[in-house]
Amino acid sequence: MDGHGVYEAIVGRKVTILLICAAAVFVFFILDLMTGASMMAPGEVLHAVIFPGQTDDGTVAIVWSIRLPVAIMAVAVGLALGMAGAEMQTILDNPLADPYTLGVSTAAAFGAGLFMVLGIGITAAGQYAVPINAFVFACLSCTIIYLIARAKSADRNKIILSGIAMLFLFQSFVSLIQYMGTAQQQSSLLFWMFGSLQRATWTNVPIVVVAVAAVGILFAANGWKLTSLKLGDSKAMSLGVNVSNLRRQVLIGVSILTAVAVSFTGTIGFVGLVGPHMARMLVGDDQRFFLPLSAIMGAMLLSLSSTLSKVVSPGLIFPIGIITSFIGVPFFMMLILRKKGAVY
Amino acid sequence: MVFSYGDREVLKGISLDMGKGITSVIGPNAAGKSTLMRCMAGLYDHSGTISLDGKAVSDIPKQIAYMPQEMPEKTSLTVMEVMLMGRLDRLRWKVCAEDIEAAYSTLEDMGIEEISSRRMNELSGGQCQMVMVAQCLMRDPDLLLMDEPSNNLDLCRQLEMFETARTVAEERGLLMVMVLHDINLASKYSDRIAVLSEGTVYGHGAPGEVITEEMLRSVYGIHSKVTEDEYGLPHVHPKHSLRMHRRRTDTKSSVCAQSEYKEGFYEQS
Repeated sequence: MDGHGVYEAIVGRKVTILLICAAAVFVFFILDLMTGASMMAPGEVLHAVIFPGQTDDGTVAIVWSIRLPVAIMAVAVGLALGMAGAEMQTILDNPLADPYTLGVSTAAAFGAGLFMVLGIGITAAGQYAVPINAFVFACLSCTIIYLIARAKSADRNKIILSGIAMLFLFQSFVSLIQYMGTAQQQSSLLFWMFGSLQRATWTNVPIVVVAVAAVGILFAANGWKLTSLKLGDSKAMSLGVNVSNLRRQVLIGVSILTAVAVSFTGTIGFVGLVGPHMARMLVGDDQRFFLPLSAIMGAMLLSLSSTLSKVVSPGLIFPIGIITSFIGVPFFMMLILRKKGAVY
Repeated sequence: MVFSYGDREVLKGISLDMGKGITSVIGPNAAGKSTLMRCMAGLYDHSGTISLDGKAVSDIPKQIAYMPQEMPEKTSLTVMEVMLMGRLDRLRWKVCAEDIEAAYSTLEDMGIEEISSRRMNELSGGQCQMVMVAQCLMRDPDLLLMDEPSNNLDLCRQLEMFETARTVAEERGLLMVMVLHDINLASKYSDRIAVLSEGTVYGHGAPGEVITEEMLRSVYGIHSKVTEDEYGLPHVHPKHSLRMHRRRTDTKSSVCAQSEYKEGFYEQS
């Protein structure tokens, strides 16, 4: 086999995996639209989505007003968390890193809690007061980490340790707020932290989609440079990569993705950690395949979880944050145990 | 040039002039060899200038290839992908046929094309090292810097790697600088040797001028015998570490002194 044959074989295999997984996301997306208080046939759902004018009003209302925003939000947040986790693991060269390593979600929870319990926030924003507070505090924690990363002496370990410090700091703030609140306030904050896709509306879904698209383009444009980080900082620098600049840019992108996702859906853990691991096992570290597949894996996990959250107890919607771990952990363990040698 | 890590001065006024061919940098641990290589690769800001054909190395990154000591052994990139990154500055999402061909033919030159589709984390340390050397060569540099390139290689691979390096240096007329710990390998494969000691240049010149028993005693602290091999190149036969020898001698004299003291004590009592 010549050079082209070898390269085509490597790329061909990875493209096939990407396409299969993308098709799986589409299937899970349709399943998500089909499930709910009343089950619908796939044809009925597709007809209502593509030809709303030729479908009865009841079905259109259920699909377009209730299920479609939630299903799109599941895919968009999954893409966001998958990408954010992938790049966090890349720039920090740590397989345990994910968006929550930096304490972003706990900071968001603290912001949400501030409004729910103490009424601190933009009251005039109405139903958006909680997400705005969550977003502001998620961004605040990201800014602190960014400032630490900007320091000349900052290295990967310092960023990780600062993130863990932020995580514990905001966790204790959240506990303090819960301690100060009434039983009702405590339970509403607890449910916010469980994570839910039911807060999706046609107003907030486009915000998440735009954030995913914009940051995705930024990451994709730096694909080969990000891949070169896997050869070590010195090697990447010698290849002409401004490693500290790249790391800062990616950190900002990860922060935006995480802050947007968390503020509209609450804390949904595990997706950002596991999605990239699954992707790496399947296609390796080449960012041209690793980045999209991590995003797709995140979307797949969250879309499937969204469906299951409606099926587990009919008539009720189970918290999504619990479901993601329930379905993700067995699958993840199966992959780890089946894989020979190192998994990252 | 001078370089410091914070307040600690690591390179204390280095002045070297290297011609085309292979120059080996040797010296004991913490002499500043790897730091010098990083400065030459343009990775560290330093005072003074390092230039290649009159141009500062920081201005001509494309003409320099650098292989650090650390190997990316844990990454799940394939060998082909690692090779392609040798031309990182011109890579797009769709890789052009010319780059693929260049990557594969360099692997063929090194005799390791059979591992081109394998992941780095499936390879041995030596295979990883060969891939990284190949990646450097693929850049077609004017200055090739390799920090301990023979670290993980078995004897046969070491010889193959150095033979390839010498051929490439001659054919392409490039300047190759290697940090080596094996003085005999440095003697065999280098046109010039620079000896670093405590951040300064102890000596610089042809192997026969630099590798002497006196240098080995002063820089490495070893007692050795230097002979000439069949090509007239110096060959080092290390005898013992002067420090260990001194310690042993001190211990012996102290034991003698103690036994003398005890004998005296018993005689008195």
